[in-house]
Amino acid sequence: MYLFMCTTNRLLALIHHHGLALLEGPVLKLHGRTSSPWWRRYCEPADARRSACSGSAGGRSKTRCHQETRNPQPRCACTEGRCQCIGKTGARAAGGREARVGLMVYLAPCFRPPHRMEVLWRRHDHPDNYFDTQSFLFFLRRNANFRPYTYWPLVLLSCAITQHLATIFAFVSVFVRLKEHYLDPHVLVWVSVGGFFLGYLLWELLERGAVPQAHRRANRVKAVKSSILIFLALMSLSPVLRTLTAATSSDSIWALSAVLFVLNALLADYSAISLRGERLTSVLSMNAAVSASVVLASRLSSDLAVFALILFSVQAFALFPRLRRRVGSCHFGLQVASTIVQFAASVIVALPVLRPVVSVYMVLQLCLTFLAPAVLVWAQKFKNEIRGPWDVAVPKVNR
Amino acid sequence: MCCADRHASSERVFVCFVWSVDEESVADRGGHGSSKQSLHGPVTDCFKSPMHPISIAMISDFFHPNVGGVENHIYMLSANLLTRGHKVIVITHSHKERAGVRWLVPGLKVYYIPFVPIASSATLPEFLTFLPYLRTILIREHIHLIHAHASLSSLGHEGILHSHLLGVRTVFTDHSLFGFDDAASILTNKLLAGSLKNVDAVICVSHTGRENTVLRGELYEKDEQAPDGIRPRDNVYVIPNALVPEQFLPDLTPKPNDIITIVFLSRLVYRKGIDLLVATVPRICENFPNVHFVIGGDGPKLIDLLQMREKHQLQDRIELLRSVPPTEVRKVRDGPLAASSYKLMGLEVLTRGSIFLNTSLTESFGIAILEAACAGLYVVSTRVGGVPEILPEDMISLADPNEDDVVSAIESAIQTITTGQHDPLRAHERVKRFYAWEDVGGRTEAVYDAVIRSPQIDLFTRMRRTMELGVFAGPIYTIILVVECLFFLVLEWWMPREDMDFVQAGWDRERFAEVDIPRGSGSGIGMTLAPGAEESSTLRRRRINLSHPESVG
Repeated sequence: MYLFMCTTNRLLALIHHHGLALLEGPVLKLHGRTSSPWWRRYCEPADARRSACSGSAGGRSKTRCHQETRNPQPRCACTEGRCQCIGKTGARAAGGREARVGLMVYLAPCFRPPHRMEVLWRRHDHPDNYFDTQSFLFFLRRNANFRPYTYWPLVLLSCAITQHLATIFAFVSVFVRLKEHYLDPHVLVWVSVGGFFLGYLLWELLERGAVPQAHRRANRVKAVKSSILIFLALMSLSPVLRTLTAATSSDSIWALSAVLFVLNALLADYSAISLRGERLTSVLSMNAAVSASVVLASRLSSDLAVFALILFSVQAFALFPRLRRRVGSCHFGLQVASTIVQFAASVIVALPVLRPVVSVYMVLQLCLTFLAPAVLVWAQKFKNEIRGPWDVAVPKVNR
Repeated sequence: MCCADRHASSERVFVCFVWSVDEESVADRGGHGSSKQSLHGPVTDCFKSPMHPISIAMISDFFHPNVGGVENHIYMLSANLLTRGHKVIVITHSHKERAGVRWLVPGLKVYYIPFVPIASSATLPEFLTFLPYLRTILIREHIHLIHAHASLSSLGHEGILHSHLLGVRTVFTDHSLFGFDDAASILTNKLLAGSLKNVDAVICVSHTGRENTVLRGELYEKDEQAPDGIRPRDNVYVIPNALVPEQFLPDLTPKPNDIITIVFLSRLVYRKGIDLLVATVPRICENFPNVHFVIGGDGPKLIDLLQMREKHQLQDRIELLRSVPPTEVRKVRDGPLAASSYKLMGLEVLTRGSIFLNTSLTESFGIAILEAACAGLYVVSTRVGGVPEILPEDMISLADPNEDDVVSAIESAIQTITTGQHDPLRAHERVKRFYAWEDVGGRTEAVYDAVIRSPQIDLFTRMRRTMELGVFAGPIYTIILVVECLFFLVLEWWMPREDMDFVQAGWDRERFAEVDIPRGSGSGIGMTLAPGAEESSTLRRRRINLSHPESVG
């Protein structure tokens, strides 16, 4: 039996040096009788349950290593984070003790060492500041739950931010156009209304598969009611909104709206999957943007312009982000396409009125989309997450 | 005089355990001493080669009248060092009525500095305000070495920072475990690293605690040969906590055979794993109709337990003991309820059970587990922190912190109890042999000895080490270090040490006995502070001097 284990462990030590991806194959070939790898047959009946929970910080048995070899993480995750036990094993194997160490790693659940080397209750001969190289920091795990990012998925994720900034920039350009009388408010109102119907159609199409018929009908009625309500309320309120902050100086208005837009960009919900309920931060973000547009509206000359701007802001900051997220979560090609379209649209809208700013804006957007993910990927090499038996364990309760 | 009387009465609560402790230590010195020493191998060595007596100041935010693991540790260690012939004082922050200088039973002098605690009895880390008090006390008391306790105690950290100005050596004991991944931990760890850069020795209560402290306090050198490239410094020691076994005698009166009582005693908070408790208790009750639970403690999670008891209709099988005096509950700071708290509860809860359950999610040492094991209970605990180190495997069932594992561990414990494999008296004897304050005192003394013999770190090395802290923290701490030196020079000029009156006499047990208040019969109540008529004025004068350092001399 012992000899058998020794040979197997020598083999495993070899495999270690060539990466764990090979592990299942050769071992299975070696013991072709069963479908499960040999160590499972050893370990599972004895202590399967314990190894199953070894992810918690409290799991102090050496099963942790065992489990992590059993479920290798995606290849790139293994490089550093694959549990330093493995690294340690490699180092010790080099010292000619591979058989014992291999046993410890692979058969630990059934041949668990009777106790840790360091116990407090036993009197020892060495001084109190003695530390044992074998057991010191044995349970330290660096970057245990580390999932490294790769570049292109990050770029795809950053598209959400690009889109949001494009919306803000387009809105600001529209405001400047209105203010400078480059844009007829009537056109903006019609564009908003048209955009609303177009967007709603798209939303309905996307909802079709996901939501049951009756539910959709109820939603439709609700949407029609509230959109009419908002339309009328805004129309009646626009004279009030125009004069609301008229007394405030323009400098304060620019500063205030800038702060509010920054707040909007910071708190916006960029997550790909739309959560069940709206989170508080995304609601705050929407409110910040609408407040910014209300504040800006006071700089416009006519009531119709104010109405058009506020209507546009409701479209752009309350309704459009939801649609955008919905579209983005469908297919990544769609996400890329819509990002490009939005970016181009925002530049086109801004070009006649904000020519000097457009170049800065374009550089910023390109940096955010392509440079920032690269920086994040690069910065990962500094990641050093330390986990050990001292962490507060997470209790697992069956509900 | 009336003032002194009031103090005496307010101290009675504390005294009940203080006094019994003291009697034990005295008994050790007296007739029973020789027989005890033969039990503890290393202790005899310590008695053979005692170090030269020195004066030690224990500094911590956590001390009596608060109750808890750290508080108890400081008191017991001080009492033990006193019996070894050292002079020990304690410096802590004041409590409402308790400010100035007080004496506790075996002749332990306590300075209560008028600082206001901000949260959980910890004071604000101010770095400089403590220096005038500390300088005055250390000079007046001729202190050689300060011993700071607990990593959240800013008084302790300040003590470590300032002591080098007076050539006083520093030792730090860490009692708790911290993570590395949340903002609070990152900040406190940096604070700890800052003060531990220049400490002379660090003591940890368990090996897990040492690993944690070495990483948190950056107490290592880079070394390619060592595992993880980390070699801890030589001045990091592991010395476990201990307990007074005589306070935890197993109850040998025969218990009813058919009923097994499981005891759970802890604050009822998330960190103590109350979620696990709530999940496991109904399952155990369902599987074993003869098992009863006694759950003692109070806290925010009590409501969960009450709901569970209600839902599963287990009112007759789960006893919830909440009759803890509210003032005392508030004072129980951290750690499971320690020895003192059981006594304060006035409930001999432990000995009612035969299994002790602990579901903590993090535990540095787990003194409550030891106390239970000492009282003859079989222990079931989660495998967290330093818990696996403290007892041999046949006295404790360890479980991973998940419901199924805890249930199966309890089941195996019940099996052990019903088949009579666990002998309470033998368990008591074993724990008594494993952990003794005499042993801890001796080992701590060895650390002091090594520290006193080691060369003092000079200021330049201190500054260099402090700069190693990091790009931001390094310069900040160095500036604090330099400002502190300048402040010290100002103090030297402002309050010259020639003008100070030095402490020449203190209280010891005999002098206490002379002015002893008659003890209540059977209750074990003695006195801690009862300055005689001729002494009180001196003490009061010293108190005034302390609270206004500028008026010294």
